[in-house]
Amino acid sequence: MKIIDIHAHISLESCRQILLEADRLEISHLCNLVGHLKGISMINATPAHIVAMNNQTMTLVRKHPGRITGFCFLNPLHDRRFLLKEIDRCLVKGNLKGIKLEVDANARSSRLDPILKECARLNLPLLHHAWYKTVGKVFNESTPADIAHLARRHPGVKIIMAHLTAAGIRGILDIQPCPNVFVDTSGSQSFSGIMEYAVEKLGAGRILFGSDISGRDFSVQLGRIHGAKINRREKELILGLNAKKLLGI
Amino acid sequence: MNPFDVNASIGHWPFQKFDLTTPAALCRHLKKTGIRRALVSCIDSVLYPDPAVFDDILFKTAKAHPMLVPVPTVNPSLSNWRASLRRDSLAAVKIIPNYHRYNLDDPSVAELAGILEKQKIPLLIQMRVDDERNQCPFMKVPGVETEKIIRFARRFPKIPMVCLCPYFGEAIQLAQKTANLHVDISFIETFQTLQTLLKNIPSSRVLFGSHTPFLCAESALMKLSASKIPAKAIEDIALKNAGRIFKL
Repeated sequence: MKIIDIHAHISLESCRQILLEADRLEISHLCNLVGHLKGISMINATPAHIVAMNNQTMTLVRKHPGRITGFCFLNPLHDRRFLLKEIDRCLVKGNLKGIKLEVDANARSSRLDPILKECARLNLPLLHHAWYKTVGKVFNESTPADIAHLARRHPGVKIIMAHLTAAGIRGILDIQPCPNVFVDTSGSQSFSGIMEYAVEKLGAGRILFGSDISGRDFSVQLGRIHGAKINRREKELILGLNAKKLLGI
Repeated sequence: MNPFDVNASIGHWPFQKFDLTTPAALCRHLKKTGIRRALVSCIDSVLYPDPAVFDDILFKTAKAHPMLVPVPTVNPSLSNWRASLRRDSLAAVKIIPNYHRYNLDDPSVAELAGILEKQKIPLLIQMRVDDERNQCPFMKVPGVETEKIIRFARRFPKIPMVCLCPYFGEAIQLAQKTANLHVDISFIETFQTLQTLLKNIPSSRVLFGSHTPFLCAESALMKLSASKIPAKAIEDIALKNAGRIFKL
């Protein structure tokens, strides 16, 4: 069984340790969304920072072919010409396979539309952060309802909504009518029951294993799949088969 | 190694759907997952105004299940809390200061601590039940502050205390700044959790806790079984520390 982690944050510095740990826990492939760079925050990153972060991801993919897939990190608030240039550099000419958006712009914002149009044109998946937060909400941070809004505007784009536990019951229901939205299993502690509910409402075919490494522990994040009361086939889909199909690997 | 779980519960919680509402169901689940024995408290005692009501049921029904060690939830801000301690051979007492809305420096908590010290009963401090970010907007309950727990633990150094559900950074603070505070692993998570944790605090201060049924027990079990820490440290966390503290 090939386990694919759709939600990883790997830097050049942490790569060796993360890959060794992934080996130990039989995770054969990781999707690097954006890795940490010293002194640079993912929030409000400048165009120069974005370029540096994407360069790091492209280097990691080049160094570990067949082991790491990389996504292009963008800030939708940047100038449209820069966004299109970065998509061309990383996804058309470069070796990245999808786009990652965080919290800079809310998913309802029209600033996302040029990016999503490129996703549709190039058949690229988009992974978007989402969370129903009671406390600690970042300005512009998207909720699952915002993701559903984005999905309805761009029904031809496959959107992976991050953080199943953070979406909760309400978030699962938000995206249920949008067949182009998938959800990754990362986010928060491994609260029981949510996996079973997601499988019931979305089907196992729309759920992908994600660890949110390096801030999390692979074993804990795998435990929430192994411990879920779902059948073996459903676990296989979540742990790797869905991501394999989505990423074309 | 089949661990002793210091953080398991049964009952109902309005924001999650649990199947483990009876001692028999919890036992089946613990056996299936490979947990040998557990300290068990009643989830309903978190929100129901008088925790003794549900604790009485727990103590009666748990008798038939030797793998469950019932723990009363005591709310020292209520007038009847002393009666909760009048049970035979208590392994521990649990307090939930944030949900029961009192401070650890209240005189009634000091009185409770005095009794525990005299009777040599360890104290469980439930720091949180869920991730504060995901709470229902109508019920925002912050975690119990580490500084307040540290101050309290220093006032009563003879009472072994186990903090349930601290985050990684909190666990380090709690164990480093006191001699009698211990932490359970249920909420502690970072890259290579136990390996990283034990670089900061000794294994003698860490106990296996799953926070079942709120969390998947398999996550806590894998945290232990997949870790690269020495066998002695695993034994400490899984069994030895609980045996020492709770005399089991």
